[in-house]
Amino acid sequence: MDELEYVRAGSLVETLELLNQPGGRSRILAGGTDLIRHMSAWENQVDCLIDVSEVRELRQIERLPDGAISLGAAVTLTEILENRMLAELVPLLADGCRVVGGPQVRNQATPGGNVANGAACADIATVLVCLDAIAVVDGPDGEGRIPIADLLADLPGRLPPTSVIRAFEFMPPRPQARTAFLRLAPRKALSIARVSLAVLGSLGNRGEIDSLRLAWGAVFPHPRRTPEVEALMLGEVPSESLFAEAGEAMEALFMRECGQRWSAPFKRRVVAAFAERGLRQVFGSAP
Amino acid sequence: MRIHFSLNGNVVDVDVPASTTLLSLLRATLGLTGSKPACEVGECGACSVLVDHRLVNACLILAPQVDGRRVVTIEGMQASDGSLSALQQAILDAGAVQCGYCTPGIVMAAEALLSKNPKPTRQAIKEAIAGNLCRCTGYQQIVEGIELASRRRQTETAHPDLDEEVAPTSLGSLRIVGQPFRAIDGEEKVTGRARYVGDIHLPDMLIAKVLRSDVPHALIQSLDLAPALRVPGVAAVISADDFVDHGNLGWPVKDAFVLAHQKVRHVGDPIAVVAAETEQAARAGVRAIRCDLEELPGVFDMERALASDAPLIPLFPPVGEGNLVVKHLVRAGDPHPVIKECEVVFDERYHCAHQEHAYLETEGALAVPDHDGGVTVYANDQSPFINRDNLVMVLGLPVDKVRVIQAVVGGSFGGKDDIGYLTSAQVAALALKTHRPVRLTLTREESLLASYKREAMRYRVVLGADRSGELKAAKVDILADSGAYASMTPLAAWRATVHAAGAYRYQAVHVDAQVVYTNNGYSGAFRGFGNTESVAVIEQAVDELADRLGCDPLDFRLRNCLRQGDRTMTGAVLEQDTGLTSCLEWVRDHSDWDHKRAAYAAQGEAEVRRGIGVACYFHGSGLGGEGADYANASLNIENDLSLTLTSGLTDYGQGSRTVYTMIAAETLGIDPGRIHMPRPDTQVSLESGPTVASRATIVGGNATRVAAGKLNGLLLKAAADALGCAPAQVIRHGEQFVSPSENALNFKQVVEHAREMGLVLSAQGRWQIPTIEWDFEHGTGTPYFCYVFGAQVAEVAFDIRTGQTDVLGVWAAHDGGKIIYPEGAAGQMFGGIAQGIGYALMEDMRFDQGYSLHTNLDGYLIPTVQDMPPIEMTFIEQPFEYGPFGAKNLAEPVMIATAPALANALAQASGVRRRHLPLTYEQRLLGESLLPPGSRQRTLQALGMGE
Repeated sequence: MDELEYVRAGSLVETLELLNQPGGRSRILAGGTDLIRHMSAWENQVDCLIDVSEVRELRQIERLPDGAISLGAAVTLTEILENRMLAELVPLLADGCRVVGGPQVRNQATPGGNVANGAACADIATVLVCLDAIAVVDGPDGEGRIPIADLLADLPGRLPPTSVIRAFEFMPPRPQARTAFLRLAPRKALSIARVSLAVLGSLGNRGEIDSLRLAWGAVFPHPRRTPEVEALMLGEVPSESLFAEAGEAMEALFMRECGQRWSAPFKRRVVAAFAERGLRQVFGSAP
Repeated sequence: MRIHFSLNGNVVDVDVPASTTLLSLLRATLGLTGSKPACEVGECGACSVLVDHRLVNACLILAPQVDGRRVVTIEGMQASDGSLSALQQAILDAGAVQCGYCTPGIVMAAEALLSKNPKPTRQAIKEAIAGNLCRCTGYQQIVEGIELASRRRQTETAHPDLDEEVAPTSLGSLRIVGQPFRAIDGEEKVTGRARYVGDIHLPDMLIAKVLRSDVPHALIQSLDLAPALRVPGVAAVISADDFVDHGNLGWPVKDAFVLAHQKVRHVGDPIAVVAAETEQAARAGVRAIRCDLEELPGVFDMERALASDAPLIPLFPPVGEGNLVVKHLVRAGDPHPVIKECEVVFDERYHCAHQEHAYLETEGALAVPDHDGGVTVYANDQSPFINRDNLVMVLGLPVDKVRVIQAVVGGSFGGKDDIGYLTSAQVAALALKTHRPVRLTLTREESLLASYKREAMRYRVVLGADRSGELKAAKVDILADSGAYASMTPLAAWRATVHAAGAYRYQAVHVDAQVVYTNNGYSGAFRGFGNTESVAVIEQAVDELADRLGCDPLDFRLRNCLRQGDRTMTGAVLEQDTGLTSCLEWVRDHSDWDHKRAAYAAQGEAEVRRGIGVACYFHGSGLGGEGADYANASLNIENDLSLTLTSGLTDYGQGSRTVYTMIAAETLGIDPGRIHMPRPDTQVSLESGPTVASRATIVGGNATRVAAGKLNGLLLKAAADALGCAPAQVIRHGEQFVSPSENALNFKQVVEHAREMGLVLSAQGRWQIPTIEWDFEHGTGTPYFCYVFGAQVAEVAFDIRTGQTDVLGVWAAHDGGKIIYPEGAAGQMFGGIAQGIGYALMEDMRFDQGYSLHTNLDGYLIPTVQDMPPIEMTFIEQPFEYGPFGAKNLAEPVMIATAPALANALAQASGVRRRHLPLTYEQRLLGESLLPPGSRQRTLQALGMGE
C-alpha cells in the first residue's frame, strides 16, 4: 500500500488541479472530524488528502450584492458562531451549530463537511435545507449551483470526487420571518440528534401563513423539507387546531415513508409533537 | 512527510506518515504522554490540545494538519519554573482530580476558555468543558475549580494557601482529618506527568494485540498460530496451551481461562495474543492466525438459560444444574402466612439492564521479564495481590518470581479486577517467552466488548402491608445474568439478596436469587455490587405501594425505615443509631419536598410535567459474609526524616492514599508532607485482600491508624526518655514534643534519640472487621458487621410528547460517619450521582443475539457536564465506633439511590410506572426498548473484522 499523501491547498485552482490529476484518488479534508474518525474505512481507497482549511475561496463569510449570504464551505462552526452578521441575520444557523459535538469538534468541523458527509442527522445540513441554500460546487467543468435539497438527495452522485463545495448561498430570512430549531438528543452535549426540525415562516397582511419551510433531520434518509405539510399550512391563519393538524399530517407522512424503521414507534410521536411545536414557536400562541 | 510546527514553544521538525494522528505523533513519536487516548473517535476530550489557540481533539487531527501551526499540550501548561499554573493549582485545590485520566484534557479546555473569557459564567464553563467526559467526579468540583481559577486570576494570587477561600472551620481536636486537603497525587495528574500503563514505553518493548471471538458461542475446532509467527515483526503468539491447566482461573467459581479453552462463550472472548515490534505488525499477526470456530446455539435470555434443553455454556456445570451458577437465599421468618393476612398485597416485576463502567482509561498491563526467569507486571488492576496469586497459578512460577506493581489507574468502579488478571497473565506469558517487555492496552472498542459489566437482573417483588401504611412482609425473587463467566456475579447477587427488601422493618422476609450463564458478554463487579440493583427495585416498589395506600412516599419511608434497635430484613439487630431518619428529613427539607410533591400532583394537562421522587438505602459495610475482611499497612521513618507508608489496598482514583496519608499524619502529629505513599507493590506492601466493597477507608484506614499508633508509641517513648518524663506526659505541639517542664524537642531530635536508643522506627498495622457469620445454605445469620444509610431526592421535568427529561436537581444525604477527606468524599458523592443518572436515563448496555449495541463512547453514552443538575448534599456525620476517627464508608452507597429517586420522580411526572432501567427515551415514552439493527456489523468492524 502506498503511503497516504497530504497536501494543504493554497487556492481553489490548486484544489481543483489536485482533485483532477489523472488516475488520482484524492479526497477533500476540511475539518476532518468525520473523515479522520472513519479513516480505516477509506484508507485503502484514497491516495491523497487535500486540506482545504486554508483555501481562501472556501473560507469567506460575505454578503453578496443581491443581499444573499455566502457561507464558505470550510468555515468552522465556531467561526460561524462568532460571526456577528450571521448572528444578527440568521440566528437559525447558530442554533444548528451550537448543538454539534463539543467545542473541540466545533473548532474543526465545517458546513461543507457536514453536508458532504451525507448523514441523515446532520444538523447544519438540516438548517441549510431550511434556508433553501444553494451549494456552489466547483469541478473540472467549472462552477455548478445545486439546490441543497437536490445535492443531499443524490450523494455522492451530485458531488463527484473531482469536485469541491466552495460555499453555500442563501437569502437571510426576511425581517418579518421567524425561525425555530427543535432537537431531541439522548444527552445534552456530544450527542447526535434523534430528531431535529428547523422552521422558517412568516405571516401575511391578513395574519395568514404566507411562507413556511419545515426541514427535518434524522427523520428521513437525508435532511429534507416536507412540502406536503407546508402546503397544508400556507394561506391558513395560525391556530392550535392548525398546529395539531400539521402534527397529524407529519406523523402520517413519516409513517408512510419510514414506518417500517425500528425507531418508527418512537419517532412518529416526536415528529408530530415537533411539527406542532415548531409552528407554535414561529407563529406564536394563536387564539 | 516532513512537518514542522511549534510545540509548547519549541520548534519540532519531524518526519511522519501523513496518516499519523496528532495524538499518535505526540505520544508515540515525541514521547509526550500527557494527552490521553480514551475513545480515539473524538468523543471524550481526553486528548484535547490547543492548535493556534483553538481546542481540538488530537485524535481527530492528522499530524500534517498542524504543519506550521502552534500546538500547546498539557506539558506546556506549567510556568517556566516548572510550578503549577494558576489554573492547575485551582483545579487541584477544588478537589477536582480523582483518577486523573480526563484531567489534562479538562485543563486544556479550561485554558482555552479562560484565555478568551477570563470571567466566565457557570454556564460558559459548562459549555467549555462539554466536550470532555469524566466518569469519576460528576464535574461539580471541576466547574468549581475553573471558577476558582478565574477568581484568582482577577486577584492575581496564583498560589494561595488551600484554606484561603474556605470558611474557617471550628478548631476541633483534629488538625488534618476532616480539614481541607489536596489529593497527594493531584500534582502529577494536573500536569499530565502521571504515567498510566499506556504511557510507559520501555526500550525493546513489544506491543501485544488480541484475537477475539466474533461469535457469541462456539467450539474452537482448530487454532493454528504458526502463520502469525511468519508475519514480519511478530515475536511470539500464545494461546490457552501456554498456561498451566490451560490458564484456568476464577473465584468464587473457577470457570474462566486466560485465553479461551475449547470454547468461546461471548463476543470479544480472547483466543490468542500476538506480541510484535509494532502495533501494525501485531495486528497483522492477529489477522494471520487460523482459527476455526464451530458456532453453537447461544443463550441470550436469562430465563431461557434455565430451561432443561438450553445449550450448556460452561465446560462443567458448577452446581450440576446446567447454566445455573449459584443460588442464594434469605430466610427470616415465613412471609407467606403474614402476606395472606395483609390488607394490601403488592406484586410486580422489575428489570435492571447491564451497565458498562466506562472508566476513561481502558484496561492494560505491561510485563517485564527478570534475568532469572521471573516477571514483573505493571497493571491497572484493583487488587494486585490477587493478580499475583493468579499469575503464580497460571504461569506455574513460585511466588517470589512474580511481582505485581500497581500502575496509576484511570478509574475502575469495580471494573478492573478479573479482566486485569487476564491481560496481566497474557503479557506475562509473552514476556517470559520473548525475554522482552510486552505491553497490552485495550482499545475502547475492545474494552466495551471484552470487559465485564454490571449484571442485568430481573426481580419479582411481593410486599404485604396494612391499610395504615405499615410494611409487614416481603418476598423477593431475583434472576441475575452473569453472562459467559461467573466472575464476581455470584457475590454481587449475594449482596443483592441480603439487601433485596431494603432498609425497612418487616415481620418476615424471604429472598431467593439465581445466577445464570448466558452468552451476553460477561458480568461482574460494579459500584454498589448488587445493591445498586436491589435498591433500584425495592425503592420503586415501596414507592408504588405507598401510592396505592395513598401515603406520601417520604412519610411511608419514615414510618417503616430502620432505626436503632430494629431488626434488618435478615434479622440482625441494629445497635447503633442508623442516621437514616436524619438523612430522610434532610432531603425532605432541602428539596422542599412537601410543597413540590403536592404541587406536582395537581399540575394538570401541561405537556412538560414535573415530578419529584425519593429513595433511601442501607448498604452493608465491607465484604461481610463473603470472607475475611482485613488490611495491613506499614510505616517507616527514612534517614531523610520522611516517612514511607504502604498499604496493600489500591488507589484507583478514589483517593484512598490521600485518606491514609491524612490518617497517618493525624495519628503521628506530623506534617503530612513528610509522608510518601507508593502504590502497592506485591514485593513491598503487605497483602490486604481486594480493594472492593467501599472498604478501603474503614479497613485500610484502621490498619494505617494502628501502624501509625505503634510508631507514635515509639516516638513518645524516645521523647520521654530524652525529656526525662513519662511518655504519657509528653505533650504534642505541632511536630514538637514538649515535656511538663516545657522543654521541647523537634521531630528530628526525637527520631535521632530513638535511633540512639536502638529503636527500629517502623511499624506494621493490621485491622480486621469483627467476624460475622452468614449461613449460605440456610440463608440466615449476620451478613455485615455494620451498615451505612442514606437518602436522595431527585426532581425532573418530563415532556409527555417526546420523552425529553431534564434532571432539575438532586438532594443527597449520606450517613458516612466522620468524613476524613472532605473534598474526596464530596467527589465520591457527585461522581456517584452522575453514574446513577447515567444508569437511570441513558446508559443502554444491551446485547442483540450476544452482540453489544454499542462499541464506543459515541454510542454508549455517559453523562456530560451538561447533563448534571445542581446537587445539594450533606454528610450526616454520625460517628462510628469501629471506624478510623469514626469514619464509615461511602463510595458505592452514594450512587445507589439516584436511579430509583429518578424513576420515582419520572413516575410522578408521567403518571406511568415503567419498571425498567435504564429509562431511555423509548422506555419513558412507550414503555418498551426498541432494538436498532446492525449490532453484529458494528461489532465486527470494531474488532477489525468488518465485512
